[in-house]
Amino acid sequence: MREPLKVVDAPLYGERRDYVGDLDASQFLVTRDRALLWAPLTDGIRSAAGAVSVGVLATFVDVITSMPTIVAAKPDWTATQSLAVHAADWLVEGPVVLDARLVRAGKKVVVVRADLWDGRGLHDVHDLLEAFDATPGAADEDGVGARSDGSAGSEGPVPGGGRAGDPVLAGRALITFARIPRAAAGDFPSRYDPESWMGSIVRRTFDPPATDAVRERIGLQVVDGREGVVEVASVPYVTNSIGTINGGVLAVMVEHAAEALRPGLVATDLSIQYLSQMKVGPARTRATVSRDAGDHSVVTVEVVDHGGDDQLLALATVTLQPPPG
Amino acid sequence: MAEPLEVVDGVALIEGYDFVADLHVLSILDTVERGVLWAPVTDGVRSAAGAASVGVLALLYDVIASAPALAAVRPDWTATQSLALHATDWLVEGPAVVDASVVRAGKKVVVVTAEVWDARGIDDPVELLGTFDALPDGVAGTATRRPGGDAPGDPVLVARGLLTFARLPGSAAGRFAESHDPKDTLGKVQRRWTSGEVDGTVWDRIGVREVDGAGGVVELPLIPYITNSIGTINGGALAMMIERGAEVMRPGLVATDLSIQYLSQLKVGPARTRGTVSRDARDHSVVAIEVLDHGNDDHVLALATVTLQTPPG
Repeated sequence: MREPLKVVDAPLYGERRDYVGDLDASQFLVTRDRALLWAPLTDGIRSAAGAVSVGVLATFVDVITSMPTIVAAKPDWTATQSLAVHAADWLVEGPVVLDARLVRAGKKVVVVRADLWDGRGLHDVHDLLEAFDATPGAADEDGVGARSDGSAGSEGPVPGGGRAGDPVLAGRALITFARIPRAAAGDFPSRYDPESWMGSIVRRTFDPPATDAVRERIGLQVVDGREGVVEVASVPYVTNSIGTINGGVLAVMVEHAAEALRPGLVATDLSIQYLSQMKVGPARTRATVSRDAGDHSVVTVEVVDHGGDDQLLALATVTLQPPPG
Repeated sequence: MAEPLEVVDGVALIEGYDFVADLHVLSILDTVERGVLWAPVTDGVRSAAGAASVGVLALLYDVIASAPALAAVRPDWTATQSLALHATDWLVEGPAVVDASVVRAGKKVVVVTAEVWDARGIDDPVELLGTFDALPDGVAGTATRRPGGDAPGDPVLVARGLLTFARLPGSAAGRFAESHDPKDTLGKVQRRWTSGEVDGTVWDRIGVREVDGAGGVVELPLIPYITNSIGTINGGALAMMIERGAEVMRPGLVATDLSIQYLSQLKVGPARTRGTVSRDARDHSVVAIEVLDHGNDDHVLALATVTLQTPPG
């Protein structure tokens, strides 16, 4: 019988509820280069397809990849520069599980990738690690896709385990962080030190748990669906450690802007380049369809600081597909 | 009647030995923030769909984006950090036109967006620039322009792109950086053009070789023909091998979207890809591609995602 792991409360924002905290994620730094996240798949984070929203997935990617990133970048702090999520399958059962691995810690940029899994009932760290490490190609410790036998094998993690109930690979993500001076985040870095939690589960949870849809939690308003215009006001619930709007909130906005342009389709892939920080707010999107193909559409989305002279905050591309069934 | 523009010869790294020049490229730095490039769509740059290959478009994008980026960072130099290109239509007629604008020049990163057009027979620079200037502008000139003109023969928008450069010290490019100030050519048409016919396809010329189709494994040798100003393999050549790596995994489909994160420089070579299919949908597939320095312990050079679609017709 294995010992249960210690659970620590991430000392982030005190008692104040915020967008990320309400996602009820548990995080675990496996090694300095690898971290796991798992979170319940509640109705509040599902898209119209019944699967987890890709904007929320992007948020989880941002959250868990920052763990090995902050370890690697120390003493610097980091800011998300770009983030891409590509779906492999519909994540419908849960929990949502992310396995993040550091790819490169350069002088200017830190690059991390993550595999996204439908945990299909598994939420014990040991069980998850065992399931992933038994999956061909998923267990590389020495870099990207390299297998332990050192061969140049081409298969990554196999989508869908061989056995019933095995976790299913639901997507892949790549994120880049820019190094910024530690002082940019005030005293936050002194409270957020992932390495000090190595071996413990870090969990933020609120009572009662949030049950409404994410778009309501963040106060997302559809201003003009036909032009893909949605807005989120700059309120403490959606701001991050450096005082600007959370990158995951922008991802959710981008998802909704794209879906407003193509009702009936569901966003499955998201690629965002973060350009500058919001100063005034609200954040506002504008979107245009780049292509309509037989089984998917591609939408381009801009996010601007509407109260800050429409300063460009982010540029994004979204792929949408018909929902399953 | 508009005045014809002055045409000057562009800088070739090695005279007569430049794979970009073999694509017969003309370009102009129209303002310090905007560069426009055009090149004929020959059989040598068409993919199996009959349209211009997205890898070649990525290469052209990388070339023209660097002009306003270098103007913005001078005396610093730049290295391509990421490149994304998403097709809106098939580029079948030509010339291919890439209209690239700096949207942000930060302390660490320069961001250049682009629209790629099928100019459909327009190849006079003055007419080209006039045509694009007449199109309605959006925020940052990117997302809100409408694809395709209404009149027959109008240029058609075929792709949108986003490219980021990291700033490097000017010393990274040595003497080349000192002597090369893009602003010197402001308003002049630059010709990067090998005289005479060029044989074969661009893939033959750069030497992409298929090693294992099922695994998405293709190789590209480190040769001077595709080496750039900082001595490593050209990012556009890597884009072309990434495209090929994805296409050999899914014969019958054609790459239309590329998203590449450049991580480090090729030191030994050959560059080698390997691919993993992320999804197969009815009319498209998504493939993840890694590029490794095969002769240097498979050090990771780039990570990419490619979307492939069923060709038209």
